Amino acid sequence: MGADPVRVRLCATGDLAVGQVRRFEIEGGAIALVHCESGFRALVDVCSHEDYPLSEGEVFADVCEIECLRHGSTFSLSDGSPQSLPATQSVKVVPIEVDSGDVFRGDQLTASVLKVSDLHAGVDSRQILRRHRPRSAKWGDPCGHGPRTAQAKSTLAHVLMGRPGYEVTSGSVTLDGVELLGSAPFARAQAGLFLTFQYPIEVPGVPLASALTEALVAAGRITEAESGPLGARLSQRPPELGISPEILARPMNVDLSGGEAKRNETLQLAILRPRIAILDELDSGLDVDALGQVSRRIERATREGDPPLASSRSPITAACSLSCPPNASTCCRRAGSSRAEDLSSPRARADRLRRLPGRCRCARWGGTRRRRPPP
Amino acid sequence: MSSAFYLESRGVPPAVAERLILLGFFEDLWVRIAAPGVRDHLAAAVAARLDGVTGGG
Repeated sequence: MGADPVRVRLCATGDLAVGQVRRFEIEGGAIALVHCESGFRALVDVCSHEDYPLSEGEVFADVCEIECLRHGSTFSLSDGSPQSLPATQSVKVVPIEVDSGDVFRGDQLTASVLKVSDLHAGVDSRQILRRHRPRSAKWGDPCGHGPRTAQAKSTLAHVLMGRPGYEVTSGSVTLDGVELLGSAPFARAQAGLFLTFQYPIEVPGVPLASALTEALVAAGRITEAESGPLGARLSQRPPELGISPEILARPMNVDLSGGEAKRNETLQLAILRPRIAILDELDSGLDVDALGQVSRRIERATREGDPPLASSRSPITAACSLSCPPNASTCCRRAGSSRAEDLSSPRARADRLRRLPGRCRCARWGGTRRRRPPP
Repeated sequence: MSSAFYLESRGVPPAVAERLILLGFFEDLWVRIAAPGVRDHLAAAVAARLDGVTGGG
């Protein structure tokens, strides 16, 4: 349960000066991590010519190469190809990720990837969606999909989830390589896709706990025998998640205010722990408090290591926001806006939000724009 | 957009979603019945009948 390796932190970026190499003995074999002028690179730490660790050799940081100490073959750190004899075969490259001052081994990720390519959809033969450019979303890169209006963002979200009436005319949507477009909405959900609705639909008479229990049982993540006490287990969750027995017993989304409805959506996200969560305008209509709570849930759900409630497919969740990345520091900036400055108590709340842990990992789909929270 | 789609988007299979929604319609009724014994009895009877209609839950 939640034991999948997520990603292996190798060191801090400051631990290795430019031109230095260090050997890391980690699961799956040793790797040689090198700090070139162009960034961090890593190779499997064995020369392809003879069994000898490359990390013993000399680094040419300017051209991003490393020389094997044994026989003097040089290898490109970018693609592992040999640059000089006697070696003739490439050394395997190990993907490296640098995130907020830490260096991670990238291929240890059991990262889920949602790929959308060439997606076209229509309603009653009227085209409502054209997406030529392939986009992908991956864990670790919460991604926003443009702030502009009328870009068919919500339409895209619903097409991805398989809303009835939206007919896909071409294209492909894969989650970890599995095509989703042919499957029913519940199958997509079970495959790990989750959509927070901008306007959650009322389901009269169906308590939230029943629906979530049925979903988890159907996916084989809890057994029928466990389903009874699910409500009790849910209410034992950390109070910061805000799971109250009342909300679990209430009919889904009936008579909820806008803020409550959004909180309810993220509550389900926190319980279901999808692989990819699409957040459709999750932040709209929320006040500072609700925004903070919603953001904390997203952060918890996307953070590694948080014990999942039901047996989890994966301990990690990617969140693709269709408005702006909802996390604490986004809230901070918003909390500091003029709206919050009018009264003293909202300002106090804003100050509290500003102290929240977490950073804005604001990246567009495929982009790398990152920001740090205000100090 | 239907409640069925909403439930399915949470991973509830269609047949189960249909059953949940049908049972949900009766909730309004149950709260009007003061006697818990009668209420539980009726609820169980309706659930059993629904099992027949929706092919099990």
